[in-house]
Amino acid sequence: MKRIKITLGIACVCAFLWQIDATAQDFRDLDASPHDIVYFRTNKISPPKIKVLYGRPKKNGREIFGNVIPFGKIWRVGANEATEVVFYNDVVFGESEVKAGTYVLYAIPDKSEWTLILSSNTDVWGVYDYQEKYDVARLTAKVSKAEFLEAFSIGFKDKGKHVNMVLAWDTTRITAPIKILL
Amino acid sequence: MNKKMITSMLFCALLSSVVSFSQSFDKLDKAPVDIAYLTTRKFPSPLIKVVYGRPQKNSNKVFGDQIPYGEIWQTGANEATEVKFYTDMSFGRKLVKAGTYVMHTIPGETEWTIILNSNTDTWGSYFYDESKDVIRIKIPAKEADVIDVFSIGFKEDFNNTFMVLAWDATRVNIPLATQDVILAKL
Repeated sequence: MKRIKITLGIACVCAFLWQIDATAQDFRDLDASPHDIVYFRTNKISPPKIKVLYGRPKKNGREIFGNVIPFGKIWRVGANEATEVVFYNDVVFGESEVKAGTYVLYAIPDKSEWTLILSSNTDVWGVYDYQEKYDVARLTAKVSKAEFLEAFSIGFKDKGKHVNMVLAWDTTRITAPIKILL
Repeated sequence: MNKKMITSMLFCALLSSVVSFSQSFDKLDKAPVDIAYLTTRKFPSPLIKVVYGRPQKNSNKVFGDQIPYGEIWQTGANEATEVKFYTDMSFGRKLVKAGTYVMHTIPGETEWTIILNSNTDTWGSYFYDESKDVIRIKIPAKEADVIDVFSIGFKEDFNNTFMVLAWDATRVNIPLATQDVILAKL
């Protein structure tokens, strides 16, 4: 019995020493469209109200909306992993009250108005897993024009009673008003 | 005030409002954010998600130079590295409850300290608060081939799963297990 225990012990140590370390090729390269994080806070030191984790593709001289990103088709609002939105408070998104939590943000771009969709089916890739049955809320957002931006960007503008989440790429801006409930 | 002046003033006001608007968007980070998921054949939906910044090697030696030994590090760049456990798990042989944590580390020449802390949504390690520590573990540092960009990944061998921190010639392998694996070993 003692011998068996010793043999087992040695085997365990060997297995541990034998462990092959991950080589450089085992890790993913940097993404061409890197992810980024943007927070909305009412001031610099207050806890966050909204967080967005999204991929940032570049224009690279292409015509984006209506071409690379076709009108009328669902878009992941970024690149690679679907864009994730965390609400730290309950919010009003479009007509619906949405509970604090983590959601995936999708959009259906169009010429003058976009539809933004919050889905509860999180941790998905692109739009391939999009299913309408997981929709939590929809919002119709206005399209406007502003100066050129090479990389797709998401930002926030504090409007006091609500906050505008702004999607920005090329010369297109999409403004989505979100009301944070206290 | 003539018409020209008013027009140019209006133009300036318009321009400044446009400029201030463009500043509300962040530039692309030098050390971009990346996401690493742990999924296994047995658990196709994620068990762990890591969101972390990926800085590049910019000196001869990363650990002990670019990133000093013995000092707390955000284990990435910019926003503190976030680790989400979708289920209760063993992390470095300590039980951690499902939830979201930030991961700080203290790199060392032969051994690293790995810290999971509940003070989430923070920047770097500036807001590190030891009283919010959830677990602290020590893991030996190992050597492998050089990788220029800081990487977090997962690997499985001999039915063991590890979270691997990899940069330069350093590898830190944190053993992981789900609860049924822990129970099976009892």
